[in-house]
Amino acid sequence: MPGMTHDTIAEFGAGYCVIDIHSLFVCATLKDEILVLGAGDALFADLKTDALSFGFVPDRGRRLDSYSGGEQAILCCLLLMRLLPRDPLQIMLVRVLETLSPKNRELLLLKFATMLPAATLFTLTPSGPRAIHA
Amino acid sequence: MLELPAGIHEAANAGLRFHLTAPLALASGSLLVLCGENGAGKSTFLERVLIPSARSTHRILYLAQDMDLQRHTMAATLALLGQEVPVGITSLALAWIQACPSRDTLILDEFEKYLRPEQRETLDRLDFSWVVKVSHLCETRPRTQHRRGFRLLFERTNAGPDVDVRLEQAW
Amino acid sequence: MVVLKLAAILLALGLYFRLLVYGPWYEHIDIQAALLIGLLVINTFKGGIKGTRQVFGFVLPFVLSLLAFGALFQWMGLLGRSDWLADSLIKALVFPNSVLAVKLCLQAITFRDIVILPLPNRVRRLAIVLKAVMEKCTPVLHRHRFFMDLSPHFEGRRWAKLQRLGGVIVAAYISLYRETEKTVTLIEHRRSYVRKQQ
Repeated sequence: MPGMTHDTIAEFGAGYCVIDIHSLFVCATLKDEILVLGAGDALFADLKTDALSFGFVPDRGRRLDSYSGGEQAILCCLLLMRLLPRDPLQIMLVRVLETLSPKNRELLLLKFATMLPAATLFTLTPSGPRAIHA
Repeated sequence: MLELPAGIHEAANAGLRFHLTAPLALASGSLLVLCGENGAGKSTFLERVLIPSARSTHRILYLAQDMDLQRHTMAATLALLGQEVPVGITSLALAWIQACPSRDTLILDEFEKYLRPEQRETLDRLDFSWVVKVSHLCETRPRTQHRRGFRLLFERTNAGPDVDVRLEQAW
Repeated sequence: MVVLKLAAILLALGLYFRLLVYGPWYEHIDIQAALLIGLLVINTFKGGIKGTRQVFGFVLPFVLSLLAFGALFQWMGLLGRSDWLADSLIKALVFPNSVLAVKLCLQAITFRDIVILPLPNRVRRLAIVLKAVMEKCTPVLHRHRFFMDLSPHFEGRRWAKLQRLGGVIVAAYISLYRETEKTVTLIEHRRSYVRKQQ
């Protein structure tokens, strides 16, 4: 059954950019995450503005695991929205939307539509990936 | 009773202060759902306020939000008890719950995202005197397994340290 | 500059082990104690009181068991030796010194240093993964301990505390292993998508 192996990136990573609630960040802080993904420091200012609309203010040196689960998911999505190409991409959100409040869920989907209009979002169901229709 | 007095409850390490406007006093057979925006402090309230207060008088089974980490503790526990360790998170959690005969309180932090409908029913049929859960569904429909349903609403303004916590009866 | 910095860190670490662990200053309790105080001050300065408390939480069980066994063997006069306690005291100082020395030296190497260093990609990726896992896994032991302490599964059982401790260690080990695997997979995955833009 899809996702039962628990390693969704290994299973779906070839065809989808996977954002899995259990595997959001490489590093422990936003500062290091931005650096390791090859982006410049200036990206943080954009992320800060993006996160404000979700009701929180990120700090570049703060441990990512000290944010709430929902905030971590939002931060990861916002970061990738700024780093992913604006090509027709398939993005799979695994247990991400379920972690968000209804308000933040709508806001995040809107943000994806604005920042990556060519991308198609998917969730993972027991029967496999399913496209999210706005 | 699952009880917490009204007033200010500090979670000093997390930098949050919870202002409980009315005392929490839940009789056996109650379901309590914690609702609020992301970052309002629901999980912090569970771990730094409710659980420390209740653990001396209740036998608590807690399924945390970082299930990817907790699954290893569950697996180690089942192995030490000489029981089979299922592979999937949901089967593992259910086996872990069923391996503990003497428990009265189940606390779930957004565990619903792992459950298919039939697994949700299995979980509902397990016998607990109190069930507490963090959920973004904030369900209002009565559940026959629980005589009383309550909501604890969390509101945190401007990402500050103060969180207003209000109790409502759902059914 | 980064190469010099790394060389200085490795030299410092090498000197520590050469002189204070495998060398002439190993048995000097006064030097070991002074070093421990110095390292604790530096650790507190860098990571706060909480960071130093975490180090204590990690080393204290080992230190206490070292001293306990030393006292026991001293009392027994094991193997005809009368220096068990003195030997244990030295080890009880050298162990936390070594932990702190390695921790502070590794922490001094930042992600920026790793990115800048002239390394082959595979080695750089490995260094990033190791540092990332080291930083992310700091709270893991405490988290497993919290879960295990809360769980009523072992109540009323013989050796409950020991079973809980064993469970925590096993869970922490598996977490560390899984976190390393996940981090390797994740960094390759992220870079494969992000790279397309650059």
